[in-house]
Amino acid sequence: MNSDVKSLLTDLQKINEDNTISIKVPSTNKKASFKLINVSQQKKLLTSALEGFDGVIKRTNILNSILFDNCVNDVEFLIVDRSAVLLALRKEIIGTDITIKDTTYSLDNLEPFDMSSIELASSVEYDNIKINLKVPTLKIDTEVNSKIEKEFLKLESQEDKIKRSLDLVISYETSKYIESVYVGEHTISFDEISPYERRIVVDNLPLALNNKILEYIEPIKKAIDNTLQVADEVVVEIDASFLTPD
Amino acid sequence: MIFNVEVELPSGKKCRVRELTNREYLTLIKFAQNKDFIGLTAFFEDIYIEPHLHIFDRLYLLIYVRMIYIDSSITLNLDSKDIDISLDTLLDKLEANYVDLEKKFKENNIEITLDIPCLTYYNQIEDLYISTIKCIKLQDNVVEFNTLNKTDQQEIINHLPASIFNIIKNYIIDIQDNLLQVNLIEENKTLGVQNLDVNILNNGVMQFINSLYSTDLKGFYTLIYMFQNTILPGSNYFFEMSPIETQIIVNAHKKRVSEENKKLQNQNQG
Repeated sequence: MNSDVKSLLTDLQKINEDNTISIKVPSTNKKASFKLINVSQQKKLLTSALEGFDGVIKRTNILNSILFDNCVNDVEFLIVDRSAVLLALRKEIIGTDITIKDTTYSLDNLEPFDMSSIELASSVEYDNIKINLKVPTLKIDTEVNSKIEKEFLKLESQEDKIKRSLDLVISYETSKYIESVYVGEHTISFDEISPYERRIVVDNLPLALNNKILEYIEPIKKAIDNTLQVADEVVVEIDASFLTPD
Repeated sequence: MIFNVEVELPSGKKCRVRELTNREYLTLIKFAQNKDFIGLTAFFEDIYIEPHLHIFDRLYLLIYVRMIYIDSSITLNLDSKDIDISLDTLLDKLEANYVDLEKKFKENNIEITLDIPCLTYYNQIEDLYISTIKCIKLQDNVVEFNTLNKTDQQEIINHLPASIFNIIKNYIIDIQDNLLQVNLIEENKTLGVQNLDVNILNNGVMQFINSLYSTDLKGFYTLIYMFQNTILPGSNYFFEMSPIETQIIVNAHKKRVSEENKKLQNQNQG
């Protein structure tokens, strides 16, 4: 790398450090400083739109990495923080207006995330099985998504991907919310096993117990969706072009 | 030293293009026959294309190479009639079509100069956008972005604010009229020739260049066989010559054979 490039990078780094915005992180209820997104992050995001099913999973991780890489403070993000931070970044970069199906809405009309509407941790039981549940961190979300991405790559045809994606995604998605499983005297801590092993455990749970886990997850998902509902039956989609002007 | 000639490109830049050998031409034909645009691009970028040249200059340069080292015309077969089109005319058209599209803007104190994309072929439209960045100036630092290697370019991209990408996107929209349909051959109803437009924003350059360099591979092997066994037996000189030189020698050989045959015929008749 020549000295001109090094020197330009130093100056650019300084601009990025000076150019931060303060965003309230719902899970901590505190403000954190975020650098604005860069060209490379935007390029990765836009490219994910061209990668079909693989791109959808990849995109979530690209969005997660924006939170990790651009946050100046040390924060352990939960999945409920993602949309709040990305909405604030979009407002700063592009503005408050968003056009959905030819109608323009203001992002300022969105309700902030209500932490009191969700349970951060809970437990469910069935027969002699007890499961501790919690809202997953973005770190867990990223780790499991990476595994789903790899599993998708093994499926060669788009047809296979369509057929198997639902099964795969549901099992992996459920596993993100499990902290530990107690069966009689045996305990499995999900922090200590791989994403694949987590999925196998989920796939072997009794259906009744699985339904109880889904009952825990549903209001969390709903609370996230509510923060993206800009008008009746109109939801802001955080897709590949979310951080690009309409 | 390998023979080379100087060429002045539509942008006004000058560069020297070295002679294309038959050995290289054989590789080229294989890429062209396979329609391997990535391989073909890598081949040309290795031998002829300097990184700072924009796509308009690149197109001009590759037509020029074809003209001076392979053949000065292309043959269109229309209704079983062969119509020769001079590549010189194509180059004149390109020069006439050339418009200076350089644009400067400032964002967060970063001054960026954009110009016609500096690339030959791309897989993702975003790469086309990035390739429009010509120069970046921040305080006293000036970096000629399009002369940097890929690693340094990526490092800078990782630090540029995304708002710049949006300006680049708008720049591409603004200049697309100048790049969507670059006319190379005008319609001639009398000869039945249709307009030939190259779409620069849609990888049209490599598709056109591919068709320009594509030739019958079997025919080329027959030429190698004939040359090595009949014209210069036992010599490997064929691979060091340019295709156009080969053609001149083959024509001279054919002329001599034809004259000798005529002489023999006259002797037999006498």
